[in-house]
Order: sequence, then C-alpha cells, then structure tokens
Amino acid sequence: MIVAKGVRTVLEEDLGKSTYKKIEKEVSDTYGISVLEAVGDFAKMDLVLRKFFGRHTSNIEYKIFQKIVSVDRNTKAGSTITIKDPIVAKSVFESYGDPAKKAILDLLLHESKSIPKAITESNLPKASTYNRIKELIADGLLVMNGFTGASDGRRVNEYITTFNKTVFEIADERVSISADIQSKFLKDSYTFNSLHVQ
Amino acid sequence: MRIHGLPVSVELKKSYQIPAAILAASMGFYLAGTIYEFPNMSLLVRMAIVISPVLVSVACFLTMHSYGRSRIFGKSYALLGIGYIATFVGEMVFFYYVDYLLLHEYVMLGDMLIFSSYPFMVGHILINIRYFAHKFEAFQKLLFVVVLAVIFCGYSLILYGTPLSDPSSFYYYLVFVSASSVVLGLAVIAFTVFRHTALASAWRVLLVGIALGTVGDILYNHASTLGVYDFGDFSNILWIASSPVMVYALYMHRQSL
Repeated sequence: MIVAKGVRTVLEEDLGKSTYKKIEKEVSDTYGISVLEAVGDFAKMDLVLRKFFGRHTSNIEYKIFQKIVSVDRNTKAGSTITIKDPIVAKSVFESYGDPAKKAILDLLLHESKSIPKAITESNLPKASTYNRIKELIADGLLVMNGFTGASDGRRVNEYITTFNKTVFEIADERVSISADIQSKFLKDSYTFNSLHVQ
Repeated sequence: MRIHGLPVSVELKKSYQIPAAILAASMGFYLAGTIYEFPNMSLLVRMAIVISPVLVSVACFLTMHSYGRSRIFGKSYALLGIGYIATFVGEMVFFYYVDYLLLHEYVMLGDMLIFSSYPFMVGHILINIRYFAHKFEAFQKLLFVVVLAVIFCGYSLILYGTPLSDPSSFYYYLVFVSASSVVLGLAVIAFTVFRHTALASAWRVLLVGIALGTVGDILYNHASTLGVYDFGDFSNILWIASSPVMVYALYMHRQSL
C-alpha cells in the first residue's frame, strides 16, 4: 500500500498519461475501483496490467517498484528499505510529521493493539484518532498483526507500526526515507517479492 | 477479449487489411503509371518519396505528444521522428541538388543523411524492447541472426560474379543494406516481444512498414550497385507504401495504449 501513490507517477513518467488513463479505465471497468485501491490489492492491478502487457508485466512491475523502493539489507529478521519516490516519501514524511499520527505510530511501534485500545491509550480525541488510524492503515504505515478478543467475544484485528526505525533524509526539498521493516510484513508484499524474483 | 478501442479480432483483421490495401494501392498506382505512362510520373514518384518521411515524422511527434513526452513511448517516438526528419532532409538533397541541379557530388551527403536515420530507428526499437523484455531470449537472438544472414548473404550472392563498373560500389551499398537489415531484425524481435500485449497489432503493422522499407532499400541498393536505378524502380513504390503503413501503425499504437 505504501507504494500505491508512486505507481501512478512511474506509469505516467514511463508510458505517458494516456496509457495511465487507459489502465485506470480498465481497472474501473473490471473491478469498479480506483488504481490506488487496485495497487493496494495488487493482484487486481496485476491482472489488469497483464491484459495490457502480457507476460512482460512482471518486468514492468519490477521497474515500477525499483523506482519507488529499494531493499538495501535483507536478513531473516527483517529488511532495510529505502523509499526513493518523492511523492511516496513525502506522504510518509507528512504522516510522521502529524503529531497525532506520530503518537499513534509510536504507541504501536513495539506492541500490536486493536483500534479501540489504541484510541483509549493514545489520550487523543476519539473521532479524529479513529480517522487518523484509518488513514495510516490505508497508507500502509500500520499493518494488521493478529487479532484479540473483544469484551463481547468478537475477534478484533490488531495493528502494529510497519516500520521499526525510520530515517528521513531531506536534500533540495526532496525527501528520501530509509526504514527497517520486519520480514513477516514483507513475505506477502507484492512489491518486495517482485524486487526479489528478478 | 476487448481492452480499449476495437475488439481484438477486428483489430487483428485491420492490422492485415489496411497495410495490404496501402500496398495494393501503391502497386496499382505504379502499374497504372507504367502502363499508361502518366505525364510527370517520375516527378510524382520523387515528390512522394520526399513527402512521405515527413508524414511519418509528424505522426511520430503527434504520438510522442499524446504520451506526454514520457520516458519510453515519448522518447522512442521522438527518436523515430528525428530519424524520419533525417530521411526527409536526405531525400531533399537528392531531389534538389542531385536530380534538379545535377550536382552528383551531393549524393554522398544525401546518403549520409539517410544512413543517419538508421541509428534513430534502432534506438526507437531498442528503447521499447528493453523496457518490456528483461533480456533477449535465445530464439529472438537466433531470429535476429537469421534475418541479418539471409539479407546479407542473399544480397551478396545475387551480386556475386556480376561485373560492376565500380567494384567498390558493392561494399558502399552493402553498408546500407546491412544497416537496414539490422533495423528489420530488431523490428522482428520487437514484434515477438509485443505479440501477446495490447500493442501486438500496432507492432505487427510497424513491422510490415519497416519490412517494406527494408525490401525497398535492398532493391534500391541493388539497382544503384548495378547503376540501373531510375524513378521507375520498384523500390520507390515500396518506400512510398512503407510510410502510410508506418503512420497507420502509430495510429494503432495510440489507440491501443
């Protein structure tokens, strides 16, 4: 989900705005969702790209992801990734720059919690905190990490901060981000797997 | 299956029918001109040869513009457009200095300008191939070698043993034939790369356009080596047919993606 915003930029820069619009229309006609949503559920985006680019889709996806993110260090425990795309990096930077979002990310840094529990422990206004948590999930900065039982017996998802350690570099108004991420969050990542299959 | 534009079956049919219709019309014009001896036939042919690269060039720049100067399509179609401008300037040199003013020392300049279009065409094809395909597959490398070998050896064998007034002209024109065959070989590879994509029909038509141009080049260089080239040469018709086929390929490209 983190790379979703960068996919549009890369597709437009490489293949042109008209190509992106055709892909956007095909995603909408096939699934009734936006490209941003389709990138979040990348299997859908992949199917649409395969209609256009056939068996070369994996190669194109690799090129797209390579421009957005790179994997600098890869161990069994985790990896260090660099977000190179300025739009994606800016989006992550803005989330960490928002005091309320930063408080939520810090709260969920080492321990996963359900949304209600995170709201209670954050001591922030409930409604805005709920919205910010939703935004962080949509941006991929919070990831699901198991579930817990609620007081009424229902199963409630727990979330944790995606990045363990985040280093921002700002040069000439461009932001690049180096971040540590646990390998369990990467194993189902389309981006990570695409970068490693090639 | 239907992506954007025409259903695939219709698009596939058109990718055969329209180039065939263009070639048939060009050949009809050539035959009618030869049989009925149209007045100013040679001037008409010469003007068509000069103007047709401009049409391709304009189509290339329109295609580049439609892709918003993007890194792959924008850049590659700009290169193709520049290549066709070089061809146009080269043909103008032939038209004005060689054919009109009869200054034959300008032949080399015209040839050099036309030759300079080949690297641009190679660049256009390579940019497209390299973005979509990770690397050349064995059969693609083989296809490239076969295309080159067939043209190179075939051309050399046809002229082998033929008495030439200037033997060095064989090697001079062989350079052009080789460059043209490299373009065709790469276009064949490009077609194999794009054959299962939305650009399959566009690249099929582009391949036909390039192939017509290459056969035209071979016939022209053969006739020039023997010193028998004139405006009634069949190579002219293939060049003239090649350009509208290329323009149609560019139109299909814009429609497909």
